[in-house]
Amino acid sequence: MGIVTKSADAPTFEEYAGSAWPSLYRYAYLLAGNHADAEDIAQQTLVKAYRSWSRVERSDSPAAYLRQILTNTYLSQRRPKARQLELLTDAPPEPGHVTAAGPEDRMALWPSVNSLPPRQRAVIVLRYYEDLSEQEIADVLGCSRGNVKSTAHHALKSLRAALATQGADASDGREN
Amino acid sequence: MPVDIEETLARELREVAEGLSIPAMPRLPEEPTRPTRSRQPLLAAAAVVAIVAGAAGVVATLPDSRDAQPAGTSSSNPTEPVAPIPRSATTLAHVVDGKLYVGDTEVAGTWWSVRPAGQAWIAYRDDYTWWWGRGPQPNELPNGEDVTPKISPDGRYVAVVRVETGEGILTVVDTRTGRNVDGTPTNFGPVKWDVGAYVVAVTDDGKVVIRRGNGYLTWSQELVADTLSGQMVFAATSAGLVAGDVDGGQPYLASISERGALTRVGELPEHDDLAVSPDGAWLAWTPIGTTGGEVTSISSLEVGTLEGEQSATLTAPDGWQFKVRTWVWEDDNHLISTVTDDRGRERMARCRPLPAQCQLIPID
Repeated sequence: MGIVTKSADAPTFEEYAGSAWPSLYRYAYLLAGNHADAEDIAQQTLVKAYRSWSRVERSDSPAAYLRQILTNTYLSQRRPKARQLELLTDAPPEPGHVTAAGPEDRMALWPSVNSLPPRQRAVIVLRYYEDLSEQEIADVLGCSRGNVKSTAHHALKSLRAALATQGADASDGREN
Repeated sequence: MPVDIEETLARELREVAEGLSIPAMPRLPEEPTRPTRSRQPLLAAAAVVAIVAGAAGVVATLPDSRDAQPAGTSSSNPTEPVAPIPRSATTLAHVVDGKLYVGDTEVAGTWWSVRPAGQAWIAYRDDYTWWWGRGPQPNELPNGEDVTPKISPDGRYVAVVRVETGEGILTVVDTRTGRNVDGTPTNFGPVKWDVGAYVVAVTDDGKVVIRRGNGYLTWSQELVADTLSGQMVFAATSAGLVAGDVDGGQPYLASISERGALTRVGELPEHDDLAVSPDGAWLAWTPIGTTGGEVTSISSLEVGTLEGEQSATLTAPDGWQFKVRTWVWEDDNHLISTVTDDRGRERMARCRPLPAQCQLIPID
């Protein structure tokens, strides 16, 4: 297989992609919220990285470069949730049928992260999963720190509101 | 017990990620490709790794400068070469000089307007009837006096309310199957003749918001009455519902629950007319007070990212004006609109936000 490589001790693109695939996929899933879109986004990221491999390879952190490509790929697409519904259902969606029941559904916040707008969701995943600072997130998204701050603020506010609603629903359930 | 939201988020995201079953990595390209800015080689590379056709289409239309740029740079970097605006005819349904075109096909009849969404559209014919399509074949909607259907941002659903003998009847059509969604038509009760009832929004997941008099109803498999308190809904977009407070203030984006409760999810500029790109990233709007009433055309549109980092003004091509409420995002990077000149002639124009530019689409 023809591989773009600079020197004998540098990893080939294939080697690098193989080692990066699991973490790329996990990050893509946290953004997209479903396997089909996660796989699409991670695949597209690898294709783009392949085309720019000389630049990726020369960068200080290829992992950060790929993360940026993946984030932009996710934000540039049609909203994955809408596409998921269109692809997987023939009938109109019913309440609670967006994701299959499982451990994820019993989590307090993950289902609500799924319904955040794409940019808010990206900020939340970069901050609380990738553990990036506000400045690093701003670099990934190509925006100001202030913008990251306000986006995170709106996202956390929505998540708190969702938690409060869950609490109220649980109380209602107990009363009934 | 109070929840530490940040700690919970970090833990749950980690648990979700660690619990995933990772699929095998896709097959990689067989041969190295040379860096290029043209569209065709990228399509070829995408085909080699067997990416699904829909995803490849998305890749092919993305500007490279946004996909693989160093941190902190902008797609509007003036030193970057800028791809020309495509000159090909639009595939979105559009009306020019009363003719409705879907792709290359003219749909029979004379038409006032069309609203494309995804691969579907709704259009208003000069006999005061509404039709929908997914392709050039028109399908009639339930019609009647003061009927105004709405289409979901992704084009999957069309919802319409018709008042029959004083009762409101909601019909929701799934444009993919061509059939009414289960549970509709549904009668939602009396509608006073002097206040009426109409659909204000239908979302991509099939929730319908109906205005009846001064109140709102939400339908999502079943009807929930009087859902909004002190809030108003104006439209559905790919970024969420356009909403506002009854007592004024800035409009905002909101999500809606199954019970019809709104949650604010983002800010919006004050506007008369608003269009949101399919990915929810770009807005195009007319400032408040500019396109209401009898205004039929306008020389410029404001565009900006939802998060507000980038903005620009789109000016119609020389000698032309944007025909009011005909502009729509063709994809995540381009907006199309019917334009009209001072002699009433009409053409189609295509614009891009960065760098802001509009040009007439050549006539074949």
